[in-house]
Amino acid sequence: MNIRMALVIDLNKCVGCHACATNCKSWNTGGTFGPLTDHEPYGKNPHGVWFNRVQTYEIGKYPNTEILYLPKSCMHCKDAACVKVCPTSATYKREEDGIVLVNYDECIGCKYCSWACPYGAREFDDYDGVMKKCTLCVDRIYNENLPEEERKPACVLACPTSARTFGNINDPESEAAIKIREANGYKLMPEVGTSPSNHYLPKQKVKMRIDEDEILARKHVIVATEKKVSSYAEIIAEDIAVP
Amino acid sequence: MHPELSLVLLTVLAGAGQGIFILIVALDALFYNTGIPLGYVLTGVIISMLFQIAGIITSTSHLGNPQRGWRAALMFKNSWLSREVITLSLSVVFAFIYLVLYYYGASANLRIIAGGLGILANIGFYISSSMVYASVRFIREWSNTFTPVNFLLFGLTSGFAVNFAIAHYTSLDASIINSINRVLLGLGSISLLMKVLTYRFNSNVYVSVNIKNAVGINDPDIKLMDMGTSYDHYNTKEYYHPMSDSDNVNAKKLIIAVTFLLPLIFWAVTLSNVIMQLNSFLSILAAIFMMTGLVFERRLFFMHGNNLQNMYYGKFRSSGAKNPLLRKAKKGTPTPVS
Repeated sequence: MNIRMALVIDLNKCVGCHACATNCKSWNTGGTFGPLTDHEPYGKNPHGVWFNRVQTYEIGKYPNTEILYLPKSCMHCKDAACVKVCPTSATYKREEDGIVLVNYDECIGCKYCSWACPYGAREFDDYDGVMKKCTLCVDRIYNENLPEEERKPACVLACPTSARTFGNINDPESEAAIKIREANGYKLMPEVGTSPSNHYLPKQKVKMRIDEDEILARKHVIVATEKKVSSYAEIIAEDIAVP
Repeated sequence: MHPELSLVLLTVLAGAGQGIFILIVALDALFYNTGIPLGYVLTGVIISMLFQIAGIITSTSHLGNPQRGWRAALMFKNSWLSREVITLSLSVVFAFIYLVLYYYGASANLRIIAGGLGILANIGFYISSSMVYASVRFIREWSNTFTPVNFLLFGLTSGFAVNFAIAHYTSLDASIINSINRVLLGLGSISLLMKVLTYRFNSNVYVSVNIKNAVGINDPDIKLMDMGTSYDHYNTKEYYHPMSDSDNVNAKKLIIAVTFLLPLIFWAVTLSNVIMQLNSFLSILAAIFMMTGLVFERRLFFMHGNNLQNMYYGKFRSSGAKNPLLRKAKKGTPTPVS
């Protein structure tokens, strides 16, 4: 069975802190695939290359709204559209683990791959003149100089709520595959047919679970306050009066 | 999509350049026995080559690493962009060979073979340069039959228009000029019709993907609150070019008038020979109008491209078109809830 490395992101746990994005930037700007160019980093209009970006959406109508944080990086698609259109073969999909990478030495910076990607996962670095994208921290996950527990993508290590899981989704025993199976993990825009590897665990509707006893207890307090009773015995005595 | 000027100029200039060449070789083959004036062939082929070389030079300016541009020819098995680069280079090479053969009086068979191979390369370029856009299936405004048809039609029409102007100044036989004029009227009319149909198609284009399946939440009210950065970046600039609805409508009207209607009027005047002294001037004016108009037409073609990833940034222009299959349903037929 082919190894298919991917990220599984639990949207219930993501709090939109951008730690994944900043740690990604921090590792990759100084790593093998850096630098990730920044323009005006401390200026009025900071902009540059990021492998991972987090968007915030409001779902529902006021006052019944929820917030969705959607971290999005390269999906490492099984049928990657960017690989097919590349005129120089600079973009390629590794057979051994399914990671889509860009060979910076062959990329001519024509941006065609970014047009072909429906997820907006590729960014043009105008300093180096090449396309850059998430590498799934390929320079970390096989790096034997790192302790074994740190051989994970930078975004996974940084996530404070453990919303991100990394692993081989083709291995049914892997943590990533189990999470996808148990929580019905889904892909973004599945109908476009690129078969993305990254999965998202569906966001549950936010519910407030209140036990009936809690309501009753609250009513006791209200009654007690209204009747100005202070002792426990008096509250118990008033119980009968609660409607 | 962001209208990259270098790509606009590449497609317009190279398309026209190849149209010029195709007509010259076609006339050369048709008037095999009588021959056509050397001045006309030399001027035409040189202008055709200049257009194509200018296209190549401008196209490299949009590359991040132009010094590695030659690598773009490597993946001809997979990539339409590779095929575009190869066919454009071959077109220039064959045009040059044809020019040399004609200038040194080589046998007609030999030069027509060279010209024929050049035409094959030209048609290959029209197909591959249009498929670069038509094969991006996540941009519905590009990924349709109109794109290759229009690239071929507009390339031929603009090339013939320039050729028509050259013919007026290089003493080509009046009957041949007259024939070119008729062909131009026909091609121009079909181009105009196709452009109108394309704009009509694009303003009603149906996209089945929406924000619900883009983020994976089934709720009718999903809106972007924060794109994650305080300033625009590649994803918000490359895939989107701001344009108001009224600007869009005005641009379409202007393009149809300048690129197609006015040249058609000029060609009708030249054909009718109302003012014979003005024919040469009008032919040049028609070519200038058509070429200038096509630059704006191609620019708007880029701007109309609406990549699916715009969904994530709240920049996806929704045309409001309904699924044509659902629209055709008869009254009372149950339709799926959108």
